[in-house]
Amino acid sequence: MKANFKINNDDDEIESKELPTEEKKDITDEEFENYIVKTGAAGSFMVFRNFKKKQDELGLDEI
Amino acid sequence: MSIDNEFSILQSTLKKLLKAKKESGFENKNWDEWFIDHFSDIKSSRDKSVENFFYKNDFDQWVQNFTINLDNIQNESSAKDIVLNYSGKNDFAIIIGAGPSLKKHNHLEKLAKSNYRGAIICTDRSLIPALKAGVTPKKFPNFFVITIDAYEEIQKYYDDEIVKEFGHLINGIFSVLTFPATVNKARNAGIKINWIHTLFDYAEGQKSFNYISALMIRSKNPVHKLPAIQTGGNVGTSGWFIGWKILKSKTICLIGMNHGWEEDDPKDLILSHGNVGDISEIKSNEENFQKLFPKIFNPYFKTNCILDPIFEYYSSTLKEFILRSPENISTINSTEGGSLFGKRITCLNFTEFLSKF
Repeated sequence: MKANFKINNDDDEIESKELPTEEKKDITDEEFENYIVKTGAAGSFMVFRNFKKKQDELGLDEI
Repeated sequence: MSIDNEFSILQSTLKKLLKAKKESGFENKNWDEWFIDHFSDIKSSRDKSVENFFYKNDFDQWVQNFTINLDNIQNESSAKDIVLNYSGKNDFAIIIGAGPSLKKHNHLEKLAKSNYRGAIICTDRSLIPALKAGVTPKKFPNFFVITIDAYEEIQKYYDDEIVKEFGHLINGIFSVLTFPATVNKARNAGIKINWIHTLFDYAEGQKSFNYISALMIRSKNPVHKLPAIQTGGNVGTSGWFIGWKILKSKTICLIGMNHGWEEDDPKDLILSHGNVGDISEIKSNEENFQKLFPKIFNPYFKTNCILDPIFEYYSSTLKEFILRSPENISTINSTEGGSLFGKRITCLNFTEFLSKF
């Protein structure tokens, strides 16, 4: 028995992913980095990423 | 699409894929999202910018803080013990952030007068206002406070007579990277200290600070292990993870978590992410302001909020993790404003939440 994957056009999903916003223009990576440096990113911490074990990104019971 | 590209697999392969998709936290997301995420091995430029910033400015302080805390960490409780002591009593948790909506909608006063019986998770900045408003561990016995930030100034959030009055009834959850004087203030106020790791480099394996610091903690007692949480970059998101992963709550309600600014907040406050930054070089002309600080409309609460680049980063990160959480975890946003809305987030007036839970 086989399972088939349906191929959708890229455009189909775009609308549903967008949240309602007003006057939204994406800032550049440079502008984002500049803002982080200027404000000192106070009250922030790194977001943990693990591309080999994505599940670990949700936390570990104990280490 | 060419016939050569037809995508057809065996059912046994599909079962393996389903298992891998579920185990990576994508059980409730579509295949495309999982494939895109799974085959991406490059950090987003946002994550990279934040990482570069912290390695340059804060990493040394984190290591110093941990070294000074180590003896206490080895002798005090792991936050995993909270599950053993409180299991079954925390089906509901309210995370109290320190956003402007807390005051605007009198949420602390409403909570203090309510018959809510679930857990309270206060972010450190909201502890003193919560206690002063009558949200105390005497009325709400499952009362927790959390600190993630490693900065020296965080100690002021524990520096008040009212913290000493109720401290002995409060469970504190502290990152091993917390500034030592902050934990001392809490400890001296009678708060029970429970330690956690805050994940940031564990993916780098045995060379990572998360891994090495865990080894050091276990050097005296091999079973003294600590939970390691995703912070999502801020204490509010950490609270959401603690509600889900440590207290095992099924329904997590957010108040004071705007992750954005009110429309009538002073422009300088918005520009500087709350008067914490040097804004002298940030161009504030109208076009640039609208680009860096977009106004978004919350269609559920019918309110506007203004994002800054940091809040936009926080907000999108928390939304990502909410989407990746199991279906039986409900996230209710009762902030009555702000930027947290969308899939898997139920926006509910706080009074209504309190009447139901």
